[in-house]
Amino acid sequence: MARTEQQSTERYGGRWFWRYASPAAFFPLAGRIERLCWAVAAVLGVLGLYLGLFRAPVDAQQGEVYRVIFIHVPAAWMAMIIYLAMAFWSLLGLWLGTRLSFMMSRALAPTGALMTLIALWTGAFWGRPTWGTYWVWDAKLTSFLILFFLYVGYIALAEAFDDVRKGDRASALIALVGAINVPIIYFAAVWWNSLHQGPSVVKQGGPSIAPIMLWAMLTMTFAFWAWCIAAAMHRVRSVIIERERNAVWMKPVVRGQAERERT
Amino acid sequence: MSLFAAAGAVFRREIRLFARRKSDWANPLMFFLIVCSLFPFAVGSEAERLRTIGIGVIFVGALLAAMLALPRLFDEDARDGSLELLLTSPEPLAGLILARVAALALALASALACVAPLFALFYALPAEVALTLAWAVLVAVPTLLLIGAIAAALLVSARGGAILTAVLVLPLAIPTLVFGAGAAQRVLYGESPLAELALQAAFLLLALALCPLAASAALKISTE
Amino acid sequence: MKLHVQSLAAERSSRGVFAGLDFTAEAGTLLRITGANGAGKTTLLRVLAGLGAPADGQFTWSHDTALLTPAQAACFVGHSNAFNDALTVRENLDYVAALADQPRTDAVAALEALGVRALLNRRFGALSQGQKKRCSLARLLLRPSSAAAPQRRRAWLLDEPFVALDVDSQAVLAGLMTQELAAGGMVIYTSHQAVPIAAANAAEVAL
Repeated sequence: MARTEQQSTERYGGRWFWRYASPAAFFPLAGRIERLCWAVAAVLGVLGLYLGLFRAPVDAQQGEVYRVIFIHVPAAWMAMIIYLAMAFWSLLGLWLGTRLSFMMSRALAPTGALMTLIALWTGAFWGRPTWGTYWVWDAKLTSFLILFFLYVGYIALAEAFDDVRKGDRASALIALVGAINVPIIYFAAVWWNSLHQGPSVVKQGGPSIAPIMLWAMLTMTFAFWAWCIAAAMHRVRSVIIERERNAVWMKPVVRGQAERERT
Repeated sequence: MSLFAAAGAVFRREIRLFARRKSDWANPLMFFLIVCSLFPFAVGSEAERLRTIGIGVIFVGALLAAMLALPRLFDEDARDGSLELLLTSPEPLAGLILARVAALALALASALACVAPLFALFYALPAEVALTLAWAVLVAVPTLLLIGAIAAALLVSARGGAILTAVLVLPLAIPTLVFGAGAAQRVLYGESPLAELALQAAFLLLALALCPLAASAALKISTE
Repeated sequence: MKLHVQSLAAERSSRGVFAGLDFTAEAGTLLRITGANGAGKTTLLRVLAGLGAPADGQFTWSHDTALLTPAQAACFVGHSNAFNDALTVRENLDYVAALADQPRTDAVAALEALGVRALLNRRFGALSQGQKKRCSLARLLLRPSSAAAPQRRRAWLLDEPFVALDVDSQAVLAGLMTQELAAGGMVIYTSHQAVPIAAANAAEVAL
């Protein structure tokens, strides 16, 4: 592992991002990013919810129920983006052999699974009053269900190995296989839906989307971004502490933590 | 040339093993028969109802039976050490894995495809639906085995391998399930199944191109 | 045939077992790997056979000036027999030969050298442990039956080859190793049994 990192540094001439490919250098940076993103997520989240729940006008057809989209849509976006990010870090890890890439990939997975679950859950709550049922076998919903299975499979596989390095590489490979399959599965779901004449989704928005709704949605989207980054950074720090606990640079970190807990 | 010689040897060995130990392919087949027989007990035996669920039941049953055969790909070799022969061969591992999956597919897919039309008749489906279904199973099972080879290779030495293999592989088999069962459904509606069958074949080709490479990478990861 | 190992380190289950290993071995060398249990003897042989990646450092197999892959250069015989129980000894040997790119080999001669020619068409699963081990070792001796295609000798990597062999068979194997070395081969092995092996050029690597 050390060899590949060193080789990579030589190959790419030690640019700044290689400095942060080392867990020791990345650990404090991740802490700063985490704190910043928690703050951003809190501020934007409160603002976005205020705009969405209190300021945005009531929808003419759907009434108050539609307001769940301010949670639903950003969560659905994050669910997809996080899978892509996971696949990206996995590819980087398999390609360059950098430990931190695998850690990032594994740190992202639970957040991604959570986002998928939130999207499915809020979708069901929206569907009950709108479509009259919690679940329809619609192409988008079905694809999200499968995306959730892919996240669960990734996490289960990563945990199935006693050897951390094997678990890292195995789950990275399956993340890539999944990433190739996601568009195919979506395509198949759309086709399947048209074949079986399932109910189609009510088209959202239309010409008369109020600007305040757009602002609320944008704010919530950024809040979700910040929340996901903060959660991933928090988790990657935990992973680093767990894996590098015997490293020399970790000693003062762990001691500082213990002291802070004592006081 | 020597890749063909080595891959041929792998293929012949697997076929010989299937001929000598019939349980390797007969047990998944029995599983398939029993699963398909259970459904009428659960949903009732009216012909109309059976006809509605028949295609889906038979198709999913065939995929589950193929899943059960996946550990057969590498587990025994890992136990007796002959997996090391594959891994230390100078020939590309992906080609050897392809030969091995091909042997399993030949044994299992043909057996399942032979039995599937029989059950189509049990489920009150017309004969032309039964034939399309057999063809679709013949294409879907190798696709599933190819995708499954990746998971089977990753989980050679992991605990809880069989169930985890199913969790990883079955979601990825949805496209071939959709189009395979869809083709039979088309025939049931009196339409042409060609579009679905062509797409299903396209997935098989894609799996043929990508899965052996991924499986060889997977086997190196898990045995290192 | 030459093996050059430079500051090699290896891990087992993400735990370092040895590091900073340097040695060179030439054709005709008998090299014994020694070390306590868990020192990484098997891991080292597996790395040299190409069955695992080193954690650090490097090693090269070469012949004259040409670099070889581990698969081309070495023949690894580990703890397990690597034969399938449901196949006959001959079928197993043919499979090994085809995978090693040596079709049309003389399985009979190989078994004869180990004194187990009579087992040629027996099912492998029906043999005793000692017979199994001897048949399995026959894969070291697979060579083309005709002199048409001169094959490069591959280095033998043997992990505890004397286990499960009786005293006579141990002597037979030791004799085969001596012959192989005299013919310009290379033998790298681990053993916790003190079996005398005649070799002009013997060395030890301690882990």
